[in-house]
Amino acid sequence: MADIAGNALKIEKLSKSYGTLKVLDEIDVEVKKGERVALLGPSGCGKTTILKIVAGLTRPDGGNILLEVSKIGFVFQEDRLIPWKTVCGNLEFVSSDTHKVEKVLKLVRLWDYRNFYPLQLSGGMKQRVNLARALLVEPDLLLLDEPFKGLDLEIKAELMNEILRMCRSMSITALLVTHDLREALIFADRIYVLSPAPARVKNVLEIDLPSEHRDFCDTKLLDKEKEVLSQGFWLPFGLPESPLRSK
Amino acid sequence: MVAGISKTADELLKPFMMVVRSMPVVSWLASAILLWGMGWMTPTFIVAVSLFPVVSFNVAEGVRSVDLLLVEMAKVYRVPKKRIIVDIYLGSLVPFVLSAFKVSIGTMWKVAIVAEYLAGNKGIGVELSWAKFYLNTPKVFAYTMLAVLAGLSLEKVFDFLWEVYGKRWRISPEMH
Repeated sequence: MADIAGNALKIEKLSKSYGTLKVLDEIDVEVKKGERVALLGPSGCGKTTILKIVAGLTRPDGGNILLEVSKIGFVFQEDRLIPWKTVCGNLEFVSSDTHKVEKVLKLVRLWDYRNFYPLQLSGGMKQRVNLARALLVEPDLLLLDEPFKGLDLEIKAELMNEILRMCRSMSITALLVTHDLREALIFADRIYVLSPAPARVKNVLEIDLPSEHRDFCDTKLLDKEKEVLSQGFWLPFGLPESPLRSK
Repeated sequence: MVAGISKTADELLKPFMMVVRSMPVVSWLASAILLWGMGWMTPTFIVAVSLFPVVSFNVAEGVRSVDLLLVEMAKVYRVPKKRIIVDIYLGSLVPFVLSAFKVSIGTMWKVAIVAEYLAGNKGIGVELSWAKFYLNTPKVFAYTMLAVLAGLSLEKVFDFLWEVYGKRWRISPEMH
C-alpha cells in the first residue's frame, strides 16, 4: 500500500476520461493534515472531477486516491439546498442532531434565518448554509468547489473570511478548486496550477502570506498576485483586473 | 414512480397506460357493477380509474424532474436511501401531484356523480336519478345546483391547500 504518512489526502497519477475526452492526465496532489490547498485551473479543465473522485461520486480511470480522513464536507458550487425545506430542515436532512445544527447555524451567523426557505435567502446566505451543512458533519477534509462563483466582491470577501475562520478554528484540512488566482492566494497554503484539459499539474506554488494579508484588497496580496503573474505561468481565465496588473 | 425512474419500465408500462386511458368510462362502470354491484365501491373505483392516467403521468414527470444534484449531495453526506426517497423524491412530487389534482378535480367530481347516478346507492347522483324517475323537475334543478356548488367548493378547498402547501415550491424571493 502506498505511503500517506502526514497527509490527509494523497492523489497519485489520477486519470479520467469522459468518452473520448480526456480531462485528467496523471494528476499528483498532496494535502497535509490541517493544510489548505487550492487547485487553480481554467473552467472545464476537470477541477470539479477531481473533487468528485475524492468524494467518491465518480470513479477514476487510473491512479489512486489515498485518504486519511473519515468525514468529508463538500461545499458545492451551486448551493444544492432543498427548496421545500427551511434552512434548519436542510441541515437536519444531513444530521438529525439539533444541537449541532444550532451550533453551526450560529457559527455562520444564520440562526435568525433558520425558518427561512432557500428562495428567501440571498446568494451569499445560501452559500453560508451550504458551508454550514459541510461543517455539520465535523469534516476532517473540506472540499470546496468554486464556492464564490457568481457572488459579488463584498459577499465573496465575507464568505472567504467565514471559511478561513472555520478552517483555522477547527483545524480543518481543505481543498479548494477555483479559476480565480486571487481567491487561491487568499485561501491556500499551496496552489497547484493546472493546465487546460486534459488537466496536468503545471506548477506548485507555496504561499507564505500571513493571515492578516489574506484579503481581497490587501496590497501585499496584490503584490503576490503580480509576482505570480510575472513568473509567466499559465494564467486562469476570467482573472479580475487588479490595479497592479494595469500598472 | 417506477416509470419515472426507469426508461425501460416506462416503455413496458406504456401499453397498459394507453389501454387504461382509452377505455371508455362506461366500460369501467359496467365492469365495476358486475364486480361489486350497486354501492359506494363502484363510484369510488370509477373516480380512481379516471384520475389514474393524469396522476400517474404527473408523478412520472415529477420523478423525471428530480434534481439529481440534490441526490448527489445526499450521497456525499451518506444520507440513508429511505430519507433520500422521502425527502427528495417524494418532496419533488408534491407540486406535480397537487397540480394533477387541481386540474382534474372538476372532471373527477362530474365522473363521481355520473357513477353514483348509474351505480350508487346514495349521494347526489342517486337523488338525481330518483328525481328523474319521478319527473320531479325542481328536485333535478336543486340537486344540479347542489352539485355545482359542491364542485366549486371542492375546487376552492384545493386552491386553499395549494396555496398553503404549494407555497414552499413557488415562494417569491423577498430578500435579494
